[in-house]
Amino acid sequence: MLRAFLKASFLVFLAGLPTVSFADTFIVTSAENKQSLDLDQVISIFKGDVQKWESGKSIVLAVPDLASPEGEKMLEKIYGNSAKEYKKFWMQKVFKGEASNPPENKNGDSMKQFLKAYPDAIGILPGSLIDASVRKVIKID
Amino acid sequence: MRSRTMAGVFFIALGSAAPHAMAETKISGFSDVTFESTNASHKDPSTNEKVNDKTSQFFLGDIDIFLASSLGDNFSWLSESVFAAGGDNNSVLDVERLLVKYSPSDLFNVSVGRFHTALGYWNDTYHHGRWFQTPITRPSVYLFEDEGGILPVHSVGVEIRGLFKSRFGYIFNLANGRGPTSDLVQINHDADSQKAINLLLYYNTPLDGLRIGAGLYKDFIPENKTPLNPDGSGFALHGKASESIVDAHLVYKAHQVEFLNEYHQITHLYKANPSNGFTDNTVKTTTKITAIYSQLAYTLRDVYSPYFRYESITGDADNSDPYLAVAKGLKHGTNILGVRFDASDTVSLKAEVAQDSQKSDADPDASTVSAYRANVCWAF
Repeated sequence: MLRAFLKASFLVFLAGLPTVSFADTFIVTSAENKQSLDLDQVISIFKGDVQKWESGKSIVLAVPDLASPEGEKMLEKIYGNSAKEYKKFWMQKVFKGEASNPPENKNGDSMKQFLKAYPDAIGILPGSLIDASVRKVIKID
Repeated sequence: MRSRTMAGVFFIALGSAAPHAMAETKISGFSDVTFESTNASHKDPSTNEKVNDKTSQFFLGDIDIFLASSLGDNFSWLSESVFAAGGDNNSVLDVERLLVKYSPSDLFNVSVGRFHTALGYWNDTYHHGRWFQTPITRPSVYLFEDEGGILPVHSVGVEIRGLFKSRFGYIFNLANGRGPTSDLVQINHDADSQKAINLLLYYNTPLDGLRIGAGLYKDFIPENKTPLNPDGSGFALHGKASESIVDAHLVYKAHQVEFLNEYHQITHLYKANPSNGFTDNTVKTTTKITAIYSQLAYTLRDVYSPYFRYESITGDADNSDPYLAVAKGLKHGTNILGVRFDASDTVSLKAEVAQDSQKSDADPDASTVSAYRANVCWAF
């Protein structure tokens, strides 16, 4: 009976905690990149309007699978359109000569490895996967 | 008539796994096929009776081959080469764009080569791939030079562009400019030493998807004193002229809505030349041609996009323009109603009906053309 009571108390305690960030989605860069960004700047970067860091280095974009929760959040909050329109957007960007390449497609650990390998990259990760190897820039909200 | 050019040799290099680092050349392209049925109604001058001319045909669109790659830090290149079916039922190859670009910052990007002149919104946004544009046809003001277009849609020279704070953009062109006839894109030599300059400024407003802009293009048109054909027919002869093109646009593209509005005014100042009927050499002659269009489309369920476009080209009230073959008092209006269906991410079907009417001082009885078009276009 005591064990059941303690178990129930623990569950009530957990329910009362502030919402953890495991389900949240974050813009991330390599740990070496210290440039701060607000959401407007992030949107400009992911839409290809801004292609250089303040250092003058070219920004390398990496996005998750569009069907993943992070990808859907990105489409909703950053691009404001569907997966189909996103693909067309980048095709046109490259076709106009405004961008050399569409974003790289990376997920989870491959995203972290990519950011570690390319210090000028920026990507998107769920909160649950963020560790010391990447820098959290801003939550997509 | 499309110019015939030699086919190039396309080199594909496979780069390393590093993103955007070296020459990993991407090849993509666009193409389309259209069926069109037309009914042209006009008055026969000999009988004074109304005549209907009907035509129907399938016609091939361009095979638009697009190559692009990064050439290392801050350098990139692209080319757009088009295999096109000409009006003479032959195919020709044209290099429509060829650019090498240096991009050291968001504020300053310089390209050299052949590009689409920044004469407003459509020309800088939509190139030769019909798959990108919502309707089947381009606005009449943006017809290509060899289709009888009135704007210098293509340029060969230098382009500098930049974007400040993602809001304030500019595009500057310095190019060979116009040739002695309006169908010519001067890709090899300039008939006169004077260059065309163009500046477009635009503002991406805080309202997502809304952009406004305006531009000014200046050039000199060299004289044309040589008839195209031995019997004197062909492009009209004319003296040297100066050209100014003012353009303005307001576009909104967001939340399934596409609302494009553009205005152009072309002003030519001709030195009088007896060859074109202006007999007094001390009199300068000015012509003004105005073009507008407005296009509205709305996307339903991410696949259906019904659209409507109104366009108008108005000639000068007092003079014909010999360079652009625009008759005095021309009033040319077109209404287009259609729908686009995206069958997949890369294949689209379009159908439209167009009503085109045209009259001028020399031909006051309006001629009308009704056209029904169906098109399949794809990206690859």
